[in-house]
Amino acid sequence: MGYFDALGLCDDTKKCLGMARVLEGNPNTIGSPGGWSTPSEDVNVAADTAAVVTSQWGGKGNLRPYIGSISATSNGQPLFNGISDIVGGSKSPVPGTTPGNGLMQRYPGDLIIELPSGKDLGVVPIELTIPSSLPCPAGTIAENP
Amino acid sequence: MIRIVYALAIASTLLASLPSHSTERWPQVQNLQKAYNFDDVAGAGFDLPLTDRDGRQLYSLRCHSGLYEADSGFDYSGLLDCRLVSLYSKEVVSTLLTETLKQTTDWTNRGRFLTAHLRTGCATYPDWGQRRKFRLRGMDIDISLSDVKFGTSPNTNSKVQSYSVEVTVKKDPTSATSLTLRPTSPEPPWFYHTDLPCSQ
Repeated sequence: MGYFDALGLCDDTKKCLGMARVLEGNPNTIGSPGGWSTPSEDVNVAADTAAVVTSQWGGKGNLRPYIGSISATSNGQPLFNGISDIVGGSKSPVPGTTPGNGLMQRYPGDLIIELPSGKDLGVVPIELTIPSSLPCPAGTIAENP
Repeated sequence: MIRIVYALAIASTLLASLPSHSTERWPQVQNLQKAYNFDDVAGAGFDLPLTDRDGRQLYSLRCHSGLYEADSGFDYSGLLDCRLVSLYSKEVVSTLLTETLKQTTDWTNRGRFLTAHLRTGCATYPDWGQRRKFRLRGMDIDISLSDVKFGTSPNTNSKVQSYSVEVTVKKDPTSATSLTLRPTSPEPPWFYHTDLPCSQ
C-alpha cells in the first residue's frame, strides 16, 4: 500500500555542516571517465561536480552508491552537484603522502573538495545535502542530529 | 656496490625534477614474462614484483580493476588500471607509468585500460590501445591485453566479459628516464574521451 508523505517526515536526505578546503581542479579532465569508472561503467568527470578524498567519506565502496546524490552550497551559493572524481595525482602539499592525505594534514578538520570547473575558494563554510543513510563526511556534522 | 647504485638512484629520484632525458643508471631488472586470464573482470588484478638478478624487489607492478580498494596509495579505475611503484625510492607521483611530474589524477596516464580502448579501431592503435609499452629506468614494460570477449559485440555499449593480460619486462639501457617516456604514437582523441569514435 502506498502513502503520501505530505509533511516530509520521511525525507531521505540530510544536511551536513562544516568547513571545507575548496581547491581548483583540472578542467581538462571534464568529459573523461574519472576515478569512479569501473569495468562495467564509465563515470565521466563533469562540470559543476566535485572530486573528493574517499577516506573522508568512509571509503570508496561506501560512497560509490551515492556519488550522484550529493550536493553542496557555500554561503548560500551552489558549490557542486554530484561527485565525479577522486583527488589524486602528484600534487600533495606534504612530501611522501598522497595528495588526499597531504591535504588532510595541511587542513586538519576540513573537508577536502576539488572542483574541476571551479576556482580555489580557500577554506569556506559548506552545507552538504546527502542521503540519510550516508554518514556525514569528515569535517562536517549533521544539522540537528 | 649494489647498495651504492641504489643510493645513487634514490638520491637522483629525490631530486624529483629530473630532466626528461637524464642518463643516470638505474638498478637492472631481470627480464620476465607473465600471463594472466580473467573470467571475472570485476575481480581482475595482480601484483607483480620486478626484481634484480639477485631476486631483490625493485618495483611492484600492480594492475587491478576499478573496483579494487585495497591500495591506500592509489585509486584504481576503469577495466584494468596498472600502477608501477618503486620499492627503492620515494616518488612524488602515484605511478611511474605517468609521463609527467605534474600528474593531476591517478588515472591520467596510459596505465589505465578502459573498455572503449579495446573496441575495434582503438584496440590496435600502438601504445594507446590493447598493447602498451612503457620505457623507463633501464627497462621496457609491455602490457598487452588479448582474448578480449565482449558480451555481444565490440560495439558501443557491450561490456567486456573476459580477457587475458601478458606482461613482459626487458632490460633496455636506452630507456633512461625516471618516468615513462612519451610514446612515439600521438595521444588519440578517444583515449580520454571515450564518446569519440575510434576512427578519430
